[in-house]
Amino acid sequence: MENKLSKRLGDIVTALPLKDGMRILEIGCGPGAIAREIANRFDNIYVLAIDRSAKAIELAKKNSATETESGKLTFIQSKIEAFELPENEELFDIAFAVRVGALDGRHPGIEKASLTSISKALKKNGKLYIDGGDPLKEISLKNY
Amino acid sequence: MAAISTSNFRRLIGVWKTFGQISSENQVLELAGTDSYELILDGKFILHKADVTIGSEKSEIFEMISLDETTNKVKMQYFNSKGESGIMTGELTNNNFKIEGEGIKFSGMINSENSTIVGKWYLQTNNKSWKEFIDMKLEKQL
Repeated sequence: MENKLSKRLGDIVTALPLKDGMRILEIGCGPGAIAREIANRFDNIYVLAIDRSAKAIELAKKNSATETESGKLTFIQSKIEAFELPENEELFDIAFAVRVGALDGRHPGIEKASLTSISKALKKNGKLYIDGGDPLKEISLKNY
Repeated sequence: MAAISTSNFRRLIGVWKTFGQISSENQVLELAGTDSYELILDGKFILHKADVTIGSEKSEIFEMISLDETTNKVKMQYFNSKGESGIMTGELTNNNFKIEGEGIKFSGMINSENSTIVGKWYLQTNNKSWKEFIDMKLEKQL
């Protein structure tokens, strides 16, 4: 299925410091457009994409059959504030989120729990990016 | 016919001052506000209103609580100021107060004087384990 990404989302994918061989965690993936784009831009990359909405995950899986069958992309329904690394998953190089209220200051009640969950899922030098910058900004996980 | 007004849940009736803490590794976020429980509709239901602030985020909740006579548990149907709604099940056996919803649960105690409720909210992870989320204390005001 052709993945049509808006210019804004395309710029976000381009701005992420992605490389072949990396493991990427997308938070709040919605119907999976960004995750699919990343999976298709690199030959050897892995994306775990999560969203709290069961409907979003259902749609993401339906639209990403090729990418998920290749093993480059997995979708899981999970709230980020309650996310734990699944047993069969290794730590990630990069985590990112676009328009996720748990991370952009709109919901401070779950922000700290979310940042803790992300910190535990990243490798020692792993980084977290969210939108709202130019076009991204890095969020420090120093205190988590 | 059993009524919620004569059930163990009548112990919730009143206005409570609410305190909470969300803890994560090195940081603590405070929660503060008010919870009120009142009998409505000829004592057939309890209306629970919560008005709390978590950090800088304000949240209001209205919740209708009804008794299931066969199980002695309550159905708790909530609506909040984020536009979210849902249903949870509550149980108050002796002094043990439990609430369970999809992916979330509360476990706590109400004291014999009905003046304090202490407990914790938990979130269910994608691995199906339960993770502590908020420590809560409610103190009866009226």
